[in-house]
Amino acid sequence: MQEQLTSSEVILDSLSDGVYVCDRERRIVYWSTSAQRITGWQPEDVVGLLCLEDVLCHEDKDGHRLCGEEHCPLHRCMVTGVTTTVPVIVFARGKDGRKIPMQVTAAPIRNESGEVVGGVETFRDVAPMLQDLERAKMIQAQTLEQDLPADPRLRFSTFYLPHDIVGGDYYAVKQLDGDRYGFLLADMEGHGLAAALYAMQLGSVWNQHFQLLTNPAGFAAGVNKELVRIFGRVVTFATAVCGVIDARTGKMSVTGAGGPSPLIIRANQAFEKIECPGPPFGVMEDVPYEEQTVKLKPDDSLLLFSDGAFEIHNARDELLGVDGLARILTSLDYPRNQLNMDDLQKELLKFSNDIRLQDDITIIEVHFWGQ
Amino acid sequence: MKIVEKRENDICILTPVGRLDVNTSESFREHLLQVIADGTKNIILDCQSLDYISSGGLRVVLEGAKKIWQMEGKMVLCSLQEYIKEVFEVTQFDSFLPIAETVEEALKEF
Repeated sequence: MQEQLTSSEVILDSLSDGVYVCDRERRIVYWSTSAQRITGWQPEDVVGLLCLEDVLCHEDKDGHRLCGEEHCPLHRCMVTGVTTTVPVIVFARGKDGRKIPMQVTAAPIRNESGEVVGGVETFRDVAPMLQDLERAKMIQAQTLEQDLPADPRLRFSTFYLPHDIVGGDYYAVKQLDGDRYGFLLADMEGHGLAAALYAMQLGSVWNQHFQLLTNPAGFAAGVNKELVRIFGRVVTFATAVCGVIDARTGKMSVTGAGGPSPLIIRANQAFEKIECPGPPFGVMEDVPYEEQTVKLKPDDSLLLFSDGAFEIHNARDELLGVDGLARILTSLDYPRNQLNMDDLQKELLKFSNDIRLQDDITIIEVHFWGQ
Repeated sequence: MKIVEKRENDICILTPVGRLDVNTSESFREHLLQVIADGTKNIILDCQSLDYISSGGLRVVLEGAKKIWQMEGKMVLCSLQEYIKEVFEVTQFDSFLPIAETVEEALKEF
């Protein structure tokens, strides 16, 4: 009886989570009873096959195929020897063809001398949780999807790529009067559900205060005061950059609240940083904010982005940085070519050599046509 | 995350090693808050071996500093690498957290 209870295989087969084991060549050598229950695949369907073959068909939340790529969580953990610290949501194909959302963790298996000889992946069906998150995503998208101003003198574009299903970035653009437009790009510290809820609250604060953006430093002070009140005793903050642009003259005032320095891309493809330091929103009450004034010339562009677009490390532990982001944009022949988020994401992933990008990415682009 | 801890009289010198990011900030937070909970109110964060700090890492530093201020203590940072220095400048965290060039200079702040 005792022997039965402590048998590893009995324990594995009794778990509610699915478990499978691959050898170093990624050949499936064990497939648990719960893995059968969740996916419908029987051991005889999968044991002996390479996990990257056309069976499990793991994809990430954005539909990118993970099997056979360097981005496969199990493969990565065998290469790096590191156990997954944060579970990853992937979509697997069940035997009946349906896509099953699964939360996955992976760990390397070592022999007695410490050499990695295989890997174990555990997964659980997270369909109910995902339905809830999908609804939350829809609600968040409704908050962010505002009609961008249409003005023949300017073109606004926005790009939003949350790390999780919902994200902690917030952005907005609004016409303030006949010629002037206000904008804000903010990044709640952290990501996931808590950051998304705070981002929703920031949306309400934006609606109450955006008219103040004729004076960005005053707007920043107002938003900061509100967020200090909202965060209360919780230690968190939002980094941000906000500003106002005059479509008639190209004159722009920008205020930073700990957000990344925006970039101006001149018509000749030269990049210039707008240095605008300032305390993040919500850290302390009654802190002063400053404005930087710059002028766009016809065919210049302004890029605001969250730190997820450049705080990316590669396999050699080197940081991409803003200069690296500018190099990637140049390699994509931006601004001659319009900004394409899919292409940019591919290049960022190529640099990172990771399963997926580690943070939300939001970009606001303003192209100034001039008179 | 590896964190080297040293004592100089009533001052605790913490040296986090590597990256303070989404994967490591929780273990650093636990360590820092434990040091504070044990009654230390003077802390030097020696950043000589800190290669990167994310906003989550900044939050942990802020949380530790706020707790220390409540105890009327002091947190001083020192030996910041160029990128970390930039982060503290952009966020103006350097306006309320004293930053010294070296551990020796940081010790003079107490």
